[in-house]
Order: sequence, then structure tokens, then C-alpha cells
Amino acid sequence: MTDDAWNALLHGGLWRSPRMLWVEDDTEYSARRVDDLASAVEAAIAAAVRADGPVRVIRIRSDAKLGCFAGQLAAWRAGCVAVADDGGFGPEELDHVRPDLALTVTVTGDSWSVAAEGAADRPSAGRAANRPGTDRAAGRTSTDRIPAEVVAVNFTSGSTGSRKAVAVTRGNLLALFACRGLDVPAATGRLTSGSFARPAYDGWWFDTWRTVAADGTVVCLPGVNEDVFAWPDLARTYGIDRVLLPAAVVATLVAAVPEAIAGIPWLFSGGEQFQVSTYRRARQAGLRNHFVNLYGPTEATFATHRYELPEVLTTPLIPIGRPLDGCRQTLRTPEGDRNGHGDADHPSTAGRELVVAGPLVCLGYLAAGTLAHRFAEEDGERAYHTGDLVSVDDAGDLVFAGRLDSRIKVNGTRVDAAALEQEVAALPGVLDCRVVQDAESTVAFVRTAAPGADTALASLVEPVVKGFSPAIRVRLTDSFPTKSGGKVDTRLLMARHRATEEGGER
Amino acid sequence: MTDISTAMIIACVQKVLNKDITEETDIFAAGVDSLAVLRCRALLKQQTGVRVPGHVFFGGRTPAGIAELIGAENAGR
Repeated sequence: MTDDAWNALLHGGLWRSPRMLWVEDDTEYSARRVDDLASAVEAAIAAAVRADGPVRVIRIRSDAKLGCFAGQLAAWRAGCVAVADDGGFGPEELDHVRPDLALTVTVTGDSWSVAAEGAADRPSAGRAANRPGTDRAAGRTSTDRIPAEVVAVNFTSGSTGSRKAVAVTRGNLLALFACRGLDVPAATGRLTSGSFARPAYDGWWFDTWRTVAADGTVVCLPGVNEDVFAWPDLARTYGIDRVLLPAAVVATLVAAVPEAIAGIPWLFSGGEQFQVSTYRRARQAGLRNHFVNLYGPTEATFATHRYELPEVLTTPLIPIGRPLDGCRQTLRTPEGDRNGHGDADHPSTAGRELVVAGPLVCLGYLAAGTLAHRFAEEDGERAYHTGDLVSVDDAGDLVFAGRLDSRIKVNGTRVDAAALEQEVAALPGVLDCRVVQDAESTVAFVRTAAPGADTALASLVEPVVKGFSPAIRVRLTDSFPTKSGGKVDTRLLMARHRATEEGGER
Repeated sequence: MTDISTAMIIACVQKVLNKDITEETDIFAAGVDSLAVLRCRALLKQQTGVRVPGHVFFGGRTPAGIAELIGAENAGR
């Protein structure tokens, strides 16, 4: 069943559809042109296979989103795992997947070229290969290396350690494409999606593939630091129905150029906690969009829960809502709390761990080019223990309440950093909060609209933070540095703090 | 295309940062971050219609440097 649906997607009439359209860098590509590019990539794969033997994992390098997309299509048609690399991979990421073949796809306007990287000096299939990055010894490229159902890789953001490579299956992607909870009403009867996510992030599946699978149009949006001013024109010209943005990007746009997103009816926010302050500011700026807060670990393809924000928000926190169709949730009491260690002053620490199960849960983790860890089945379905603590609000929606591993030790006392962040972020005048700990100290960085010598706000924040631990320092700031994917760069935040501290003490 | 002068950059940054700077001030050392850059770019767009890309701010660093990069970009078109 999965095979049939997958084959229909890769080889079906979609690629002759007169409706599907890909828009990138002022160029429109029809379904047929996308198919043509995929055919060119397929030819390069076939040539590499003829020269050097079978391949299982293909790394697709392209600065153009279309290059990554068509490269994925081609790799899937060739029965391979497609790893889209937009330039952000280091040796560690590559070692997790160990590509057999690297293709570079260059797209310029309506022309393109495909090159097999290092093809000339790759070992031939007859010789056993044992080189970093290209492990092509006999048998290594067969399906026992990585199960046949695996077609792609999600890299975790690495906020809880090094980036892990999650094995995404055909079934995962088909379940995501069929998930009705992610639908939006399309103004023109066919879906048009703005694409912001870079190809190596899981938002890519939602932005591009889910849209194309629905025979829709993908409009690639220029980066915020490039030409964000082009967004309103693109939204108007193509009638963009929805866009997915990291919560930090929504906050930035709302504060500086709300008009960039004003014309897009449905705004999905994901990747991080969507702050109430951002939502209030959006409404104050006159934005009338529907806002949907998405939640889901990278290990569950893209998203597992959604919450559509009401016109008037009365809760102090934005819930993560309810499971998407096809996703089953279980709430577990964490081990440490079973003996009555819950914290009465901070009830959110008594949250339970969210376990998600169903077809959206990926197969496991890849390491050294093989499936090194498989997520176990629970009650007949693959399950993933998120490590996220949640509570259930009066309406039955889940609310994020911290992380199992966010329980840090400050001067010997256990503190739930995520719970602290939540409580501080809910204070009036506070936009966001991050607790960062290094070998020397623990600092609560508090992002506010009016920074500097805001003593009134500081006196509001201090008691909340000190209630968790008197040893945590408070630092008000008007901005958080972000990583390329949009998540807050806590290491840089701490480094900046150190730099100004040292400067001030001299 | 409209030329954007050093004085216009200074005015925008001063408005966003709410403090005085000169044409040789490193705006990032003065407290400009990515949100402030976006605000400055929005102001310039509003005043001149020119869509200044973010990299000229990150590359130019001082009002004089930024104006020079904008001039170079426009000359190349």
C-alpha cells in the first residue's frame, strides 16, 4: 500500500500537472521542468552507478532549493536515501549518513547542470573502498546498511547535544502528506505555500513536498537578511495561503516589518515555543492572520501537535494543543516524580513526559552510515519519548512545561530551567527568556521590548528567578542571537554576556 | 536608483538605537543586532524605496562603510 502510494507520487501524473508550479529567484518552473531537472539528476546517478557500482545514500548539494528538491525526487526514483545539503553540513553530519555519491546541482534561471563530486578519484566498485565519506565496499550499499523504507534524513537542531541523523521513511512522508490537520483552505482552490525552511530542516517536508503532493505551488521566499521586502509582492502575485516560520523569525518580523507577512492568511510557527508576547504584538501591529502553533520533535518527521490561536488569547502560555490525526499521545510520569518529588511551588515541574506514537514517528537514528538505533514499538506502533514535559489545560490542550533534561543543578539545587523560562516569559513586558548555564554561572537572559535600565521590569523578573534559585543571575537584553535555522544561539548569548562582563570589570 | 548617503544611514541607526553615532561608528559595537538591522532596512525602504540587503550592513559595519557598499552594489547593476 505504501509502495503503491509512493510510486504514484514519484512517477504519477503530478509531474505533468498543469497546476503545479515552483517559483524561485524570479523564475517560474512548471511541473514538467522540475521533472526534467530530476531526469538530469537521475542520469547522473545512473552514470555513477555504471562506473562505480550501486549507491544507497546520495548527498545532494545545491544552493537552489529547486536543486535540492529535484535531487531528492531523482534519488528516490533511483531507490536511494536523499540527503539534501544546502551547505550547512560538517564532517560530523556527513559521517552519520556516509554518502556513497555526492551530486552538485547548479540552477541558474531556466538552465542547470549536474556534477558528480570527486567522481574521477572515487574508487571503482571492484576495489574495496574504505575512505571517509564514501564507504562503498561490497555489500555496504545493499539494503542491510539502511532499511529499504528509509528515504531521507532529518537532522536534529543539536540544542540537546550534537546533531543526530533521523531516518525518515516513505511511510513517514506519506503520513505527513495525508495529515488533514495541517490543511488550510486555499483561496484559489489549490494550495500555494511560501517556502522559508532550508532543505536540511524538517520544515522542508511541509513547505515543499507536502505542497507539491497536493498539486500546489511552492513560492520560495528570499531570506529575511536578503530581500524580505519582496514577500508582500510574492504573496499577492501568487496568492500564498500559508507559510511556516520559526517562532524567533515571527517575533523579528512582527517587530520590524509586519507588512512582510500581512498578506499571508495562515502563519504556522514551529521549532520553538511561540511566545504570547509575539502574538500580542502581532495583533497590535494590525496583523489579522490565522496563527497556528505547531509542535513536534524532529524524530516525528515534522509535527505531531497543533494549536490554532483564538482571536483573544486568555492563557498565559500558548499551548501546543492536540495531536494531529494519525498521532497517538501518551503522558508518562517521570521516574524522579513517582516518589513524590514534585515541586508544589512550581506545578509545571510536575508535568508528565509526552510520548508520541504512530506513522509520523521515524525509524530511528543513523550513525556511521547504518541504522544504529531503532525506536521501539509500543502497543503495535513506533513510539518516541520526546523528553518534553507537558501539562493539560482546562480545555484539554497540552501545554509545554519544560524538558526532562532541562533540570539543571544550580549550587546543588535542582531547577527546571524550562519552567523558569516559561514563568518569566509570561510576565508583562517580557518577550522571551533563556536560562544558560556554563561551568561558572547560570544566567537567565530576559528579552524585553525596552532594554537597558528598566528597573521596574527587573524588579518584576528578579523575584520570579530568585524563587527558583537565588544563585541565578538575571540579565535583560533587547535581542537574542539566532542560529541559521532560527533557534536562539544560547552559546553566543553567554559568550556576549562574558565579553561585556569582562569589559565592565576591567 | 536613489543614492543612499552616509547621513541617511546615520539617521536611521540613530532612530533605531536611540543614541548618537558618527559615520565611523561600528554600529554592531554600538548595539545594533539583526532585529535593528531589519528596522534600519525597513526605514530606508520607507524613505527611499530602495530594498537594501542585510549583508551591506553586516559587511559595511560603519555608516560610511555601508553607504559605500550600497553605492558599489548600485554601480554594478
